[in-house]
Amino acid sequence: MVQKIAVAVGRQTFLLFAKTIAVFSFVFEIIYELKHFFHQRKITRLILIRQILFTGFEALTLIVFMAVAVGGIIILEGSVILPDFGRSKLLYTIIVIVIIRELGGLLTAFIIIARSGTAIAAELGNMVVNHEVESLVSFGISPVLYLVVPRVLGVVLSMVALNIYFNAAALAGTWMMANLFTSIPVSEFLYKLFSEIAMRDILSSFVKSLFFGFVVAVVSSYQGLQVNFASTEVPQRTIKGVVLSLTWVIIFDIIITAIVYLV
Amino acid sequence: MMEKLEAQHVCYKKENPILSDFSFTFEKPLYGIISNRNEENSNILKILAGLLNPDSGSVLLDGRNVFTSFQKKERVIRKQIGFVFQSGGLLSNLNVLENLLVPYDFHFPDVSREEKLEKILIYLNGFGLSESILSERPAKLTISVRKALLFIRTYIVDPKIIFYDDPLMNCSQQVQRSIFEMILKLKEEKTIQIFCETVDAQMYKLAEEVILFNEGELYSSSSFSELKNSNSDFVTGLILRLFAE
Repeated sequence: MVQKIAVAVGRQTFLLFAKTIAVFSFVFEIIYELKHFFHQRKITRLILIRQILFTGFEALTLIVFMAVAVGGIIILEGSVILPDFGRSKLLYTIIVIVIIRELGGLLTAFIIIARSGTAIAAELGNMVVNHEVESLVSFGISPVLYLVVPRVLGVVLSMVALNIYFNAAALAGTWMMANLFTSIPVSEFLYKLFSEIAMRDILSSFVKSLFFGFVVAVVSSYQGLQVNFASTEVPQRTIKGVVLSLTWVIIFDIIITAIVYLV
Repeated sequence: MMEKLEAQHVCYKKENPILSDFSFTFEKPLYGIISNRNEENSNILKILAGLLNPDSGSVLLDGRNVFTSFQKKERVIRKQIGFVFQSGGLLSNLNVLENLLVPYDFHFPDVSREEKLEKILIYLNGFGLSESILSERPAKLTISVRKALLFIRTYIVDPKIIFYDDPLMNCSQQVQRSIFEMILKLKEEKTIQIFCETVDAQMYKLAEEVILFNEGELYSSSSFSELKNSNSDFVTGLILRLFAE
């Protein structure tokens, strides 16, 4: 009995180790192929542009709507609750921490996972099933160079841009709500809000968006390319991509936030 | 000088042995491959083309291993090898022109767009296809046209050795005629071509040498007429099955 458990644990440990090595090799290959990406931009440029259009541009309306709503809700809740505790001044600190440091990156990442992460995993999975990846290999084109690198670059650039838009739209939402429902003069509101924003907040938000974009694109691409030859594997891998992307985004969020507070 | 492809002690096994200690030199223009299990023909071609890594042994094109990594010097080898898949293979999110340009742009970045387009149009014409399909996505085209595009995409980069996995499958008669014409033209030009075919066994008559595999082992290699006159029950059975299909 003990021997069986030991064998099972050993096997699982080995599998986990092998998977970790495979993921690291994949990440290493992406970094290695980055230098070839610019030499082969004739064939990869189109994929990059399409990825930016889909991830960055087409999600803009949703991001802006969500950001304005979140900003509005925060100011509404904060301006009602905080004065009861005599901590009205904390409103601006809370806006900056919640929106710029935390929610901006996280919510943008969640939307990108839901739209682009699923699309990438499903598209790549279907490409494997339809022998499209195999045909690229037959030309000598690395699937990582042609399929993954432009998607990673596209998602990272889009994530950074959308994060900036989210923050700007959320702050605009707070301003609109402050204007509508509170008696705080707008000029005072904006002055206090911007004086709360430190370089550290902006840097933290930027670094998070870089990591989140990279993680979502890498995890989704990896899961998509793990499909073998059955189309039934595609939704399974897509769901796995979503779950793993969410998990890793939250893990990186905790790590980066901890570093920001420690440094 | 004509290239040659050498298989050296190649072994590959899945549930059944697909290649067992296979050694052979391909240096004639047209070879046909027949295996006692049809479903293994594709794997044999993919191993020889460097798309599947064998368990052991090596395949060399002019002395260089075809099982490549994607480092720049290895890309030269892949440029010399063309592979026409049985089905699929066109990138569904690109239109026809973009599909045809993927390997062309990759291997010939310095050739002008006009020159590339001119060559593409010549091949489209050769297969009886209209220029208007260039802007279409593959999903909108018939299977036969998609198959023809796989041939064109392979031919435009002028590979030195071409593999065909069931080349006539899903092709209209017109496309089949064009394929025969192209294969014969390339045969005259001494390009090495290796195929397996299950739709029209007449194609094996064009081959200079037909290679027979039994349970992954090289059984014989000879001309089709020699095979037809063979006394072996195994060979006669395979030929009969092939023509019956």
